[in-house]
Amino acid sequence: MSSTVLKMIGIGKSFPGVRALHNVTFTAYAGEAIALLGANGAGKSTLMNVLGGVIRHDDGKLEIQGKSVEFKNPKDAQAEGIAFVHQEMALLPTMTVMDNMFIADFPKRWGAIINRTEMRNQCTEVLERLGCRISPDNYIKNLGTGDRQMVEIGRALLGNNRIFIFDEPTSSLTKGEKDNLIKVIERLKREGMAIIYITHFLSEVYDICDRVCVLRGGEVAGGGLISEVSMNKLVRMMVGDVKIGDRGSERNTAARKPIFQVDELNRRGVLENINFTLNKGEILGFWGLLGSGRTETARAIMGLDTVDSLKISTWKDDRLTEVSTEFVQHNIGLITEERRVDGLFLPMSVSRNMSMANLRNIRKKHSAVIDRKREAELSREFTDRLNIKITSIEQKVETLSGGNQQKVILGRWLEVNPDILIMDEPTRGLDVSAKAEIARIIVRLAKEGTSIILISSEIEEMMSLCDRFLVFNKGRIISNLEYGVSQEELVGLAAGTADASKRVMA
Amino acid sequence: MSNKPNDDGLFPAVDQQLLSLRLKRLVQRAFPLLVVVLVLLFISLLVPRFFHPRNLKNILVQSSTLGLMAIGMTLVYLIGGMDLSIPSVMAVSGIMGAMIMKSGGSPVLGVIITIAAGAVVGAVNGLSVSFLKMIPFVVTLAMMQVMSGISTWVTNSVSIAVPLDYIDIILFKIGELPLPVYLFVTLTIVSTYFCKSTIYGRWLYAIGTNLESSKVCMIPVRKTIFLTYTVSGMFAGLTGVLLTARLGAAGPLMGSSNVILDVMSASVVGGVSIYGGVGSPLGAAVGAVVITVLNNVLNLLRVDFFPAQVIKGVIVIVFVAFDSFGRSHRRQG
Repeated sequence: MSSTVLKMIGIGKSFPGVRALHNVTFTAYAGEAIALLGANGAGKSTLMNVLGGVIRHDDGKLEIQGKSVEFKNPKDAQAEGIAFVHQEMALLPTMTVMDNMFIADFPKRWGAIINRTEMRNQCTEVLERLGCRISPDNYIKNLGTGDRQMVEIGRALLGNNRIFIFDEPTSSLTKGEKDNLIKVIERLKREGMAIIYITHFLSEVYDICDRVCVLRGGEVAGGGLISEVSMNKLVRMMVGDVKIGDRGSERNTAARKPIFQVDELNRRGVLENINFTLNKGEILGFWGLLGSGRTETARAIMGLDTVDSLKISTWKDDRLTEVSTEFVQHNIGLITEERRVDGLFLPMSVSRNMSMANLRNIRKKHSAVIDRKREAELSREFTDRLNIKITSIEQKVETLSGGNQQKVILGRWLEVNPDILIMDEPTRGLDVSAKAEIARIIVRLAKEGTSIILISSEIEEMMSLCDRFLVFNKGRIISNLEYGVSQEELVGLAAGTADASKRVMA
Repeated sequence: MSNKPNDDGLFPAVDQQLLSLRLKRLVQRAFPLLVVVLVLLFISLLVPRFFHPRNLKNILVQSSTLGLMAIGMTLVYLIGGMDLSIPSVMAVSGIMGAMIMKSGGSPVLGVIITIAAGAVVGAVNGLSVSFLKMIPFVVTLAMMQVMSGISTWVTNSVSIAVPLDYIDIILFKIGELPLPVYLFVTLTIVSTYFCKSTIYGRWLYAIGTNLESSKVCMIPVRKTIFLTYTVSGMFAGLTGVLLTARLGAAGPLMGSSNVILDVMSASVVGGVSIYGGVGSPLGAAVGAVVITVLNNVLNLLRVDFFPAQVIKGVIVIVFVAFDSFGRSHRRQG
């Protein structure tokens, strides 16, 4: 058996209100690839950030080649030969391959002058080791995604690293590029490197990895040699035997009344022929991996991105009427994924944040003047209804906790009271009780007749809330499933393992 | 503490708390300005002629032109933009108006052409920034260059005199003060009310605070940005009307590039953030008076032009530093 390169023993890490990692033991061996799996929020990134020296762990210890180490910062981790091959590539597009590879540490002559000959030689050598034919003098901007990744790997190789962490490396690669990457990883293994491979695509794990470690809720849920674990078993490890907080009889499945329809939504390279119907009072789940087209579809409907084609219609008295983007914008609310980036106005007050989408409706008669009294009344009403904890409606939103911030955004749309609400990851980053509270609000809204499109990466949340699921994969809707489908099937479909062909929408 | 209405239907506790919160914020924001005002007051006590009625009147008249430009600039700052072309646009519009009147146009036509010219250039700025997504700094800097080029070229560096009846109309005196002062005060009030109390004003703050969130809130972002630059151009044009009347002629020197520093200083000293979303026209107007007083005092103390430049430049830097510090402090807090 090959030798142990990395040992993380009993790692624990807590953030305020959340236990991100608990007693996680993780081992990587030279010449082997180990897959690190887990649902979103399972603790994968936290564990890797500990390994990369980005965050300090509370408990446990790290050993590299039998020697106990402690990382105070990313530099310490680098010094021990740990290299990240990033998902978001950190290359400089207007510089050459060679410049990018050496940017952190140029070979120098006389202390200050860059030694280009040396650089070219080393660069060529590394590229040969990787078996790729890129010129060291080519500019990054001229390279495809796969080649850029090779440059990243090359950079990691130059630093004499021994542990390579790949985070979702194939998510934006073509088939050919993917095959090439697998070959390169094989080479790295033969050279005795330890590979840590993070992915959502389970089939890749079987192609590339020798071992697997599954995290769930910050703990190790299982693992071992990949040859001894079936794919079904992997999925079950990731999902766990969770009780589904069921909406039960409240579920809206009986008399479906369509109110909204999207046809022929296309956006080159991103979305392909998206069609679906939304019913009144329904919670429709958009399920899929990051980048599968869930968020992109929501943005396209709202007119936030330009698309190649899109037809939006509403049902009224059993008749289908096509409507304009403007109509959509006034009748659909969107709760975005990153509330701090494109949701809130952080330095503004709670009241202003809540009224922002509703200003047209709270002006004084025949004027553009805002009715401040009405604004305050509505803010008070909805902060009460949503149980938002504030000292005054004039409190700045940036001083609120994540859960309360999210509720402010919910309140914003409740003020407008649209027929349709699209919620993109409404509970991300919230603690358990805040999550439950948001979920309760969602259910109540649906019960009151609002149709909701829910996008969430948390399977339990989706299972407990949705009446129906549309499964997205690589920009297409591959499946339309009723409530009652198993978690395994949902996870499998999104990861592209289960057979979706039988369930493609009519 | 609660935000629930009391049983008696009023919210005295909340209101009081709210009031004190607002007061605290105001004091926080106005503190640097207060310091400057005090320093200036102290200095002006040393300058014998400062409190002479004619000098004070002069300050108000001069503030009005600077103030109107600063209000235009403030609207642009609020949406997180920048308009360096204001003084040069002001000069070109003034020259346009003067040329129309020279070739026989009536004073009224002169006024209309002057303001319209400003609006057109502002619209071009707005178009470039909002719809063509160009960077405001570069667009308006280039526009400043174009406009000063045009004003020198068209006039051959010679001022164009305006008719006397035009001057009489624009500088019409009500009581002790001429029309521009009243115009300045009125527009300060109107634009402050606009910013603070109307939907469109709220949109300006929203866009300057977070462009992406604004889009999600279905605010017509591009249209608003476009119109803001157009309005800024109109303010420049209006200033052109007033300054031309005061000088009795329109010429390229009206919009020399050091005027832009005064306009920026007025806004920044008045508590407007160059990062967008913070400040008000009222603040800018007060800032304009402060900067005019500063100019006046430096002048009375016979400080040379160049040292005066240095002093004013330093003031802008200090205020922008306050602004940045406040932001980073807030982010960490």
